[in-house]
Amino acid sequence: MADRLSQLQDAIDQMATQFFSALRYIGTHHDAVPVGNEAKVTDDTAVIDDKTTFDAAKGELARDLIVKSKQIEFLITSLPGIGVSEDEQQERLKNLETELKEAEEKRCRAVRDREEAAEKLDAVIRRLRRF
Amino acid sequence: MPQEPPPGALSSAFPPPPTYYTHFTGENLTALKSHRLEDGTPPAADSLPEPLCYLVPPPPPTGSYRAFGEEWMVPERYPSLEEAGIRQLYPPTSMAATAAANGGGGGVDKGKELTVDRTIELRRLSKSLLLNYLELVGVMGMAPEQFHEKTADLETILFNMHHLINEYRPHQARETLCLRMEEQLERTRRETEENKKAAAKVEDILARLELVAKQADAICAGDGLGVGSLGEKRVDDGVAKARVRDMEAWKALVSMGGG
Repeated sequence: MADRLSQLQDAIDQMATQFFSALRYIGTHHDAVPVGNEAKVTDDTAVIDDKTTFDAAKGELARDLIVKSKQIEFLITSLPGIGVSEDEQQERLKNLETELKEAEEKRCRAVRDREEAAEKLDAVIRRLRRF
Repeated sequence: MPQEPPPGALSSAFPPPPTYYTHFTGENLTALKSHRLEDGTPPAADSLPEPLCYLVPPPPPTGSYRAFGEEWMVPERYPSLEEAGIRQLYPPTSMAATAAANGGGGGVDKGKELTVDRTIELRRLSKSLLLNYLELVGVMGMAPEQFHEKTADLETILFNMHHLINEYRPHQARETLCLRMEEQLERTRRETEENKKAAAKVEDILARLELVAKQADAICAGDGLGVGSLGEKRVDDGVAKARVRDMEAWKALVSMGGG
């Protein structure tokens, strides 16, 4: 999964796409209304939905936009490291580095101890078997 | 100038190595050595004869350079919106701080307010994004030919949001690094602990086996193996002792639960 910032950027891009597709849907699927006594204009390129479908689709598009906007907002509030300054981060990184070095040393020592113990055990087992 | 590169050498996805690598012959390298200055540094490229000048690396670029079809700044920093010709919608306070952060310069608490600022600005921008869209839809209903203004606004807002997010990236990178290091620390400590446990277990087993050996000796000694000739007795004694010892050892191992 992408990191939060990329997610946020993707969400914003998706929102822009939704803007476009919503307008386009309305542009291509709406019905025409005659002005005064003139004949109703017809457009062959448009696919005209009946009123209930059109209204439902409009509602859905609007809802999707709001949902996306909420998602963006949520992502913004969950950005990592809010309220932490760069100096604090640097400090933390330095501490972590020294701690890591110590831990690594301890680990090496422990591995050596374990290997020595295993060797000792091995020697004892050999002696046990043999007569 | 070096000789002309073969066609397509600069634009292909996997370009061939630069043609001047052919000049790195042993002969040329020795020739270059004789041109070295007193302090051992190689001379400037333009003071050398034709093939040798390709062997000296050029000075590092200043200002900017191009790589992978993009312009890169030296020192590396994220160009501001103004430089890209886009109106900046959030206050410039965070810009100054970002410049300081980019340059690695010191500054008191530059990051803390910056991140808080930034989330607030981002939320504001996302709100006005939606609002502007609503206005755009309104404009489209009334006077569709006047959409330019609103789409331009929308574009500016989108650019601003992306820019803010990208400025946030170094901060996130540091944060992620912190997390990874904490994980590694945790892992190393766990491993140390497990190794210590294993060593302790082995020591434990050894101690018990030692005890077993002593027990076996005691049992053998108490058996009173006094029959048979002297030589026979010694062998029998040894075999019996080993047998008892093995039995005791197995018992001990089984009682440890396969330890």
